[in-house]
Amino acid sequence: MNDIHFHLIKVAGYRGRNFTLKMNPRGKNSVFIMDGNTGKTTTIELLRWCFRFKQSEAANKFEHMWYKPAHILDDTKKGHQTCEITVQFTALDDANSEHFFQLRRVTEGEFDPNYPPIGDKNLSISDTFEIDHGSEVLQGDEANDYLSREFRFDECAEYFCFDGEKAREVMQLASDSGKIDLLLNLVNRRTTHPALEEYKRRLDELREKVLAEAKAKITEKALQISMGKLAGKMRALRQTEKNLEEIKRQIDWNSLAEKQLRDRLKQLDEKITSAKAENVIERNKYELEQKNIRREVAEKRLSIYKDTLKWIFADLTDAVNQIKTEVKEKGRLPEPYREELIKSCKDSGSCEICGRPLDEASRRRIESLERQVAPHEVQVFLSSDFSIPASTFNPKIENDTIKRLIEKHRELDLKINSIKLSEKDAQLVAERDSLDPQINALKEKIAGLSADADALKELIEGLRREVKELREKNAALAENKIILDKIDESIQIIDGAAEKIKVRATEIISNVISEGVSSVLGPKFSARLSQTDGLVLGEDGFYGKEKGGYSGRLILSYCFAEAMTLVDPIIVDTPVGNIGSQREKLADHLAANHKQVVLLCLPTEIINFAPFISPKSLEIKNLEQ
Amino acid sequence: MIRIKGNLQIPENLYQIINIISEEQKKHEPHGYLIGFERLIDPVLIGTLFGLYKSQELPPINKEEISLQKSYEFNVEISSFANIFNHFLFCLWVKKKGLPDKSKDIVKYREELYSFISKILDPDYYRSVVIPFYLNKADESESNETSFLYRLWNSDNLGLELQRYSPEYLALEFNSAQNDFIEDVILPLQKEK
Repeated sequence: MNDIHFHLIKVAGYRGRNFTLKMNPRGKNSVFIMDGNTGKTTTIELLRWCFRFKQSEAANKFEHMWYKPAHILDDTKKGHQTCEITVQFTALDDANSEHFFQLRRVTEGEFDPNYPPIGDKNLSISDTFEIDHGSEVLQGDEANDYLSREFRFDECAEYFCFDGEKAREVMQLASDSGKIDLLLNLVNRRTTHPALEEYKRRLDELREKVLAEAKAKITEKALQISMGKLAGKMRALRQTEKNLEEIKRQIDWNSLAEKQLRDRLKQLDEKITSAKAENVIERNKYELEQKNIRREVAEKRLSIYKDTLKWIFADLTDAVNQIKTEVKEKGRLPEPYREELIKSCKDSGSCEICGRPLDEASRRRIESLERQVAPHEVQVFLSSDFSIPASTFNPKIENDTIKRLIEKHRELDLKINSIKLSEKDAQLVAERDSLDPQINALKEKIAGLSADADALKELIEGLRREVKELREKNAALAENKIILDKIDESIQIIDGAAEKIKVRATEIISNVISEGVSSVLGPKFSARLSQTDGLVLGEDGFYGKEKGGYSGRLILSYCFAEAMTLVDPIIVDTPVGNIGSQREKLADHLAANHKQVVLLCLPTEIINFAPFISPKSLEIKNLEQ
Repeated sequence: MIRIKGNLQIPENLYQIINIISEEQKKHEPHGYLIGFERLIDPVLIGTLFGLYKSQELPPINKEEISLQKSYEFNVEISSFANIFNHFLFCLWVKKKGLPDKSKDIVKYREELYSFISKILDPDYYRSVVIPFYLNKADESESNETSFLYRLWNSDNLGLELQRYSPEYLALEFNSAQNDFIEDVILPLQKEK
């Protein structure tokens, strides 16, 4: 089937999204204007999910943005719900007759946030594939098998449905030398040559024919039995070879999936480590602040005890001195010199002022005076000025300051305690935790497939030997020996050629990408895909991972996606961001190189981009279900 | 000059404080807040002042010694402190006895004043009675609150908490008692003059 043309994509019930994209008829591109959060990326992701995974393998495989897996059911809805995706397209057969195809995937279930792994509970997925308006209907895995066999949608769903996220992924693959294998694996899957497979199939048919004719001529019973046996062995051999190819394909696919998961795991680990490092830095900052606070509080408390005399209120000085003066004045306290006078009077027995001898009454009077005279140290105490050393110590300020510091320390405690993984970081951890079982499951699957492949290889060897022996023993085949040998030889040549073509195809893909890059970015730009460097952009013949800047590498991603697309329509989500002035050229390039371009773009992408794809654009609104 | 020389009677709580300071002073890297007291006598003095502020009582003049739970030997000069403290005692005495009044027996007033001042200027009386008397007051619990000296002892290992025994709180409490003393003792005397 050739010349696929998409006519309709209908989304009904996917997490509140209900819209239909009706494309223009064959020969015309389509532009749908969809504002932010209206389902552009959803459309791309749903198409990828429908085309990549058969019914029996689709549960919990839906990916949306950075959620891998993402839930397909509406997390805001309770109870049973249905999500339906319908894709209608036509394709031309070898006789140029158009055939109609419709894939319908219906998912039913209910959302339960606690249901592992992502909340999609009692999930039931059913695929129906209709050919030529119901002339043939395939159910279940057969639908995907048909799409894979006839259109190879499974192999290129990642690329013919293209979005910014995928472009970034390609950019990362192209920029990381550690991921060259991953990139080349993708390319190798693309380089399988259908024509050679067809030649092989025809040679097999020829061999069948030769053997059938030889058998028809045989009259001898024993020879006929031998021929029948040979034919059976040949069929078994072919089937086994096909099975081996299928298993190899599955091994490649699973290995790729495992590697992607490992890369994602590494990426998540780095992000988580980085998030933790940021937390540690923040925590250290707060802890340092706390340490300083503790030191400051300790210093202040030590300082409070350091000189306790400063606790005494210095402004008391005047008050105390006033009281002293008051006591001295009101009490008419004797002056200190009187103590000497009294003592002299007593010693001499006469008054030292008037010179008269002291009589008994005078002596008693003097002794009375003596008792009223304070001792010297008391006199000093009363006559001295009282003073207290000045102090700036204010216990209230000290108390408030320390209180504030302690409160700040508590606030920092709260901040430190609140430093934990953010919701986004927690999601990263949850995603990382979910990857290990997936990787292990893939490893087990690969190991099982490898064992199956080894067994099949042995079986093939055995069958080949048996076929050879049967042929040699069968005299009736003698006259056809040359032609049968030639058929075998041709098949071997085709197998060898397929390997050579793979190398050559890589070169061709490289050239195709380069042509695309030159067409969009201008003649001085080119691209190169090689086993050693991976995918790099070139400017004036110099190749490097930094060439072309972000916009250049984004264009490189688009060109890579184009080269990797096995089917003709390209469905692009929001392509203009970050490509700057290249938008017109990219639009021209897409329109010129594809028979059908389906553009899902933002209203802001109409200017200088959408009209180059299609003169008319259709605004899509979400409909209430 | 007043020097405390010989054994000073002190409450158990103060003894613990002095021991902590003494031990901490020997350490290369001391911990705790009590080490902030530079001299062993400092908590004694602050406790004595607090006892005066809080009790607003005069020391017993006729007593020769007051015995407390522990004793600690000092030989330290405390003149600066004693000068301040004695002036507060003087004010308290005046508050209790009143200002001199000509209409009353002024001679008796003088005799009592001189006797009181002589007592508080006597280093032995100071060591044996005045300081133990007020330390004992500072060691008394008040309603639901533990004593000032007990809390002072507990202020050593506090951590980063606001407590009723943290140094800043004790300083604040000291200040509050001091304000009460000023308000109850000194300001009324100023008004009387």
